[in-house]
Parts: sequence; structure tokens; C-alpha cells
Amino acid sequence: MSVRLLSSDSEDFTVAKEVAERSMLIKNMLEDVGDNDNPIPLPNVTAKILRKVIEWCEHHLGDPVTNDENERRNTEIDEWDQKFMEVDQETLFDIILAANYLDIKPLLDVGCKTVANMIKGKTAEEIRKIFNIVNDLTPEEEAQIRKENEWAEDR
Amino acid sequence: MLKLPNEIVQLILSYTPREKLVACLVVNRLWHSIALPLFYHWIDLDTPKRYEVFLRCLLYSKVNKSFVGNLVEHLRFHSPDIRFTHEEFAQLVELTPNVLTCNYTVPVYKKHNQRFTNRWKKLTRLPKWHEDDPERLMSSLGHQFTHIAAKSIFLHVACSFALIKADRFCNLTTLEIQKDSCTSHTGLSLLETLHRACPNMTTLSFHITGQPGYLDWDALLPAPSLTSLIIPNLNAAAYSSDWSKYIQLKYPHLMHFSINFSAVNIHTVATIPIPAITLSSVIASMTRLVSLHLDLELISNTSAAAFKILDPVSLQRWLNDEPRQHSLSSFSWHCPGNRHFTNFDSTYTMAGPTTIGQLRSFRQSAFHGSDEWLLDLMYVPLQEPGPVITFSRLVTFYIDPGMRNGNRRINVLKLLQSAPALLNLTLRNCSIDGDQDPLENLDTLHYHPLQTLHLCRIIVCKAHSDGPDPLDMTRLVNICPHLDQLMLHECRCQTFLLDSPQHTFSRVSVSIIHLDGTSYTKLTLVLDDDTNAPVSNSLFPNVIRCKSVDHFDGGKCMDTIFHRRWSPDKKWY
Repeated sequence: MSVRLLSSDSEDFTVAKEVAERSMLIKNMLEDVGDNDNPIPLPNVTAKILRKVIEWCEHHLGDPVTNDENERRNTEIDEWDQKFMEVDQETLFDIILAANYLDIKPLLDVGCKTVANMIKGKTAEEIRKIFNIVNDLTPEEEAQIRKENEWAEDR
Repeated sequence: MLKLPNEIVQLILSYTPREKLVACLVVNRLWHSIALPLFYHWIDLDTPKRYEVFLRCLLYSKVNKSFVGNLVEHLRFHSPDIRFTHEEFAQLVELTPNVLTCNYTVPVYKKHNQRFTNRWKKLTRLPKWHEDDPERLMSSLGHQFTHIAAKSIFLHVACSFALIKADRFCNLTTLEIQKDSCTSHTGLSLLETLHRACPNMTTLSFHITGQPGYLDWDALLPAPSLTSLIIPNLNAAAYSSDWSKYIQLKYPHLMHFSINFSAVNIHTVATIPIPAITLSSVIASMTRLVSLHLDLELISNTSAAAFKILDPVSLQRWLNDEPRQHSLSSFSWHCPGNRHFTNFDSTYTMAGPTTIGQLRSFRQSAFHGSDEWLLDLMYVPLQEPGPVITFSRLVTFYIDPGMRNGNRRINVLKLLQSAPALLNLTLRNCSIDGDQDPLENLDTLHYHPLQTLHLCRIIVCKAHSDGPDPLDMTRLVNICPHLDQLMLHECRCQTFLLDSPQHTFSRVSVSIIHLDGTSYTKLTLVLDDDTNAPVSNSLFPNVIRCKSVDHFDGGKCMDTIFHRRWSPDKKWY
């Protein structure tokens, strides 16, 4: 049993149903439309990213579904996922957005943990650069926040 | 470059360690608003300096009307050097009004000679907060305590200083009155004062080591919130009917009741009268009881006072007679360890087969004469068919025959077959059949849900053998795919094998006594082995091979444990 998926740039993917169903979005769609040969359009995901997402879903096919909050909170990333996430930053963000859109919680978690690891030890300015963020705090506000949290510095 | 939506930033920051969030606070407005609650949710203070700056920051934030202290829910002090004055403490309380938990210790009474070092405890062991003015402190903080563990002498002192007032600990659910020197014991008037102070208590633990003392029985009100009563030490010489009467009247809604009897000086036994209300009749009056634990292991003589006040014969009737007068789901009975008892044969088998069949948890130590049906059920079958008795509801099973039935071997597989829902099995001081043979009549057992197996001081011994014989647990582990914790302590076997390359354990703890009886056997642990070659038994006679073990404890065999792969060329590396 396989499913066809259509990326935003019109590439047609055929994947096993159980692989596609790692995505709650696709799973729900399949339940709604029933057996149908038409490809499922995924307008928010490019072929490049979809290929990555499918690769991840195939590798993690047998994973048990964990609802244990502690296990999810564990910030360690397994070896395979670490390798998998060794991509340029734009791709990483795209994977996270795709995982969010497709509703694949474990992949979203891995992506967010990877980004969280990138943040560790960075200064605010470095973080702004990574995330392309404009600082909208006034110098006074920034000084106030720094002073307020002075106690936590130099850990 | 595209931006990540807010909910994803939130998720990322929730995975960022708290101490690394400081930089995130000043990235921009949005990040500040997301990171701030995550950052202040839990505060760890490691040094007096940090505490000092923290307090200053909270004040600063108050002046600026950002009130970050309102976000603090959990406070932890990691240094005993952090000390406060009462004013500082009041300030901290005011600045962090939403704190749910905090680890502090408050010495309420301290004598110069340091004899009384008891402290109020909440959560964990804590730094020395507040040595001044305990009364003011208690009145402002009493409602925050949910759990108190203290010695009875300390509670007596606190009472005499009028520190324990009615409803003072209105949120307290657990009170543990700890063991004390014999000078001060827990009496009824102390319990009454504590009950008035803690009206919502659900769990209470106290020792009965002295006379109950005077009580105005007409004024006694029941404590309906109390569901668990633990008596870790009951001295039968100090017991009287008033204790029975109190427990019966005070705790009508008890669901869990646990008593450990302590040893009594044999010379005082004769003088102890049989109480008018025995413990059996107290227990029988508890209509909501679901769990009962009785431990008499320290009692050395069946004519002891413990038996007088317990009245085991009545208890046995209550437990087993049809129709059932109780709805127990957990029963634990630890008999006295003296093998020369003869006059109390019948009380060794407190729970009959039908009763055990209705229990979820059953524990018993020591067996005698009339318990043979229980041992018959478990020991190696000769030609008989499968078991006739099934404990279909049993989840926890603890058996300790005390080595008295050395000629009987428990067949673990047969035992599992008779308890199909069992998750936790403990066997102590008994002989087991090493390789679970004969299995012809057990071929129906292909799967069992067992999760925890604990074997302690067992001897592996086959039929017509004096043992110890080899122990092969491979088949057992294959039948129990969910077996997660395996503990073998001080076991005697000739060789030990567990070869299940795909099995994962969260905990394995092994110590095997060497054949010489004095030292421990070397053990080899093979993890994540990718070959299917059988593990060599001649080179390494004692082997565990499995996929992974999260926590491994080789105990005294530890020095000789190898974590290695078995390579295709049959060499260890």
C-alpha cells in the first residue's frame, strides 16, 4: 500500500503508507479521502525538503510513539539524527517548518533540539544573526533587562 | 532568510537549558516575552553571593514594575551557607508570591548542646534558614508544608512551645513521626494535637513504643481524610486496648494499614494481658481496607505478646472465610523467623488459595507444614499436568520459604504459568530448577508479561542432585520479552548463562557466589553483539549476552566484568 505526495515544486513522490502516516496531517487526510490514487498536494514543502522528511520517516518507521513528557524533554539527540541534521541552517529551518506543517512531532522535536544546541553559549547578538532577528528593544530596555537578570550571569 | 513562527521559537527555547536562556532574554521583545517565564519558572541558587544579587534583582524589577518574581514557581537553595534574617525572608516571600515549592529547613528549637537538631523538612534537606523567631515563621509558612518528617521529641517540644496550633498545617498530607530514643514516645494526646493542626492529612506514620496515655474519649472526633497508617515499630509490651480503640475510632476510612512488630524482651511477655480489643478486630472493622502489611519477622517466640494482641487465628478467619468480609487487594505476611514453632502451624498459611487468587499483590516469608499446597504449586512437577490453581489477578508475588524446604525446588516457569498477569516476582532463600526442565507439559507457555525478577540467595538444584547446578535463564528471558529488571543476589549456581542477544534491560544486578562458597564468580557481559555465534561456555563459563543494559551492577563480581563485542573471528576485543 503506497501513497503519492506532490511537493510544492510539483515533484511526485510515492512512499509506503505507513511512512507517510508518520505525518499526522497526511494520516488525517488519508482517513478523510479514503483509498484514492490522486497525489496529496503539499503546497508548503519543496521536493528537496520532502525528500529529507521522507528519509527521516523511513529511518524512524519502527520507533515507538512516546507520550512520556520526560523522554520528549530529554535534550539528547541520537547519532543518526545528529548526522541527519548536519545540513545548512536554511535547510534545517525548512525541515522544522515542514515537520510543523506536516505535524510530525518527533521530527519537530529533533529539529528544535538541534537549534537549541546551536543557541547554547551564544551571545544575544550572535543569536540575532542566526535567526535573522532585528533587535526592537531600546538601549534603555536592554540595559534594564540585563540589570534585572544580573544574578544569573557568569554561571 | 525566513523567520520561524513564534510557537517554534517557544519550542526551541523550551529545549534550551535554563542557564543558557539569559542571552535569549535580550534578543528582542518577542524572545524576551517567550524566554522570561521559562527562565524564572525554576530558580537554583548556589552561593550566598548569588542569593544576595538575586534578591537585589527582584527588588530592582519591582521598582521597574516588571515583577519577574511573580514568575518564580520553584526555588532551590544548594548551599547551607545561604542564611537570612527574618526581614530578608519576609522580603523574599513578598517578592515571590507564586512559589509552589521551596527546599528550606526551619530549625524550630535548638538547644545549646546541639542535642536537638531536628528540623522541619519540606522536599529535601536544606540550608539553615531562619534560626530566629520560629513562631512568626511557622504562622506565616505553616500552610506551605505538605510533608513533615520529624522525631517525636521534637514534636513534643514544638507542642509545649505552642508552635503547633489548630489548622496551622492545613495543606499537609503526610506526617512521619520518626523513631526516637525511649525517653519520649508518641502518645494519644500528641496525635490529637497533630490531627487538629493537620486536618487534611492522608498519610500518617508513628511508632507505638509507649503507653497511649490519657485521652478524653468523649471529645474524640474521627479523621476521615486519613487513608494510610504506617506503624514501623510496634512494641507489644507497650500495647493496650486504648491503642486499638483509638485506631478504630480515629481512622474509620483507612485503606492502607502497615504494622511492623518489634522484638520484645521475653521476660516481660508473661505480664502482658490480652487486650480487650485485639488488632484483628480492629482490622476487621476497617471496611475500606485494600492493603494490609503485617511483619512479625523479629518476633522470636509464638507465645510472644505480639501474637496475643494480634490474634492471628481470628485474622486468618477474617481473611479466608466465605463470604468475604473484606476487599483486600494487597496482603503481605512476614512470619516469625524461628523454625522451631510448632504450636502455631496453622497461622503460617494466613491466606488460602482462594484468597490469594483474588489478590493483586501477595507477599509471604517463611513456610511451614500446612503451607505445602503453595510450595507444591511451584516446585518441580514430576509427572503431573499443569497447575490446578491459578492466581489470575496477581501482579506482585514475593516468596521467601527461608531455606527450610531445601528438598523442594521451585520451578519458575511453572510459577509463571499459574500467575499469568504477574509483573513482579521475588524469590528468596529457596532452591530453583536451573534450566527449567522438564518442559514438555509447559509448552503452552510461550509468553509471559513479567517485568521484574528478583532472585536472592537461591540455590540452583536439579532433581536428585545436591547442587549447585548450572543456571540457564535464556529460555525464561525469551518467554518474558518485557523483562526489564533482573536482580540475582548471592545466588549459588555452577555456571550462569543468559544468552538473549536482542533483549534489552533497564537494570541488571548480579552477584553469584563461587562454588567454594566464599568468593564471587567472575561474570562476562556481552553487549550489542552482532554475530549469532553461541557464546563460548568453556572460555567464559558465566555469561550474560544481551542487546543493552542501562544500569549494570556486577557487585562484587564487578572487577572482572567485560563490556565487549563477540567478534566473528571468535576473539575478544
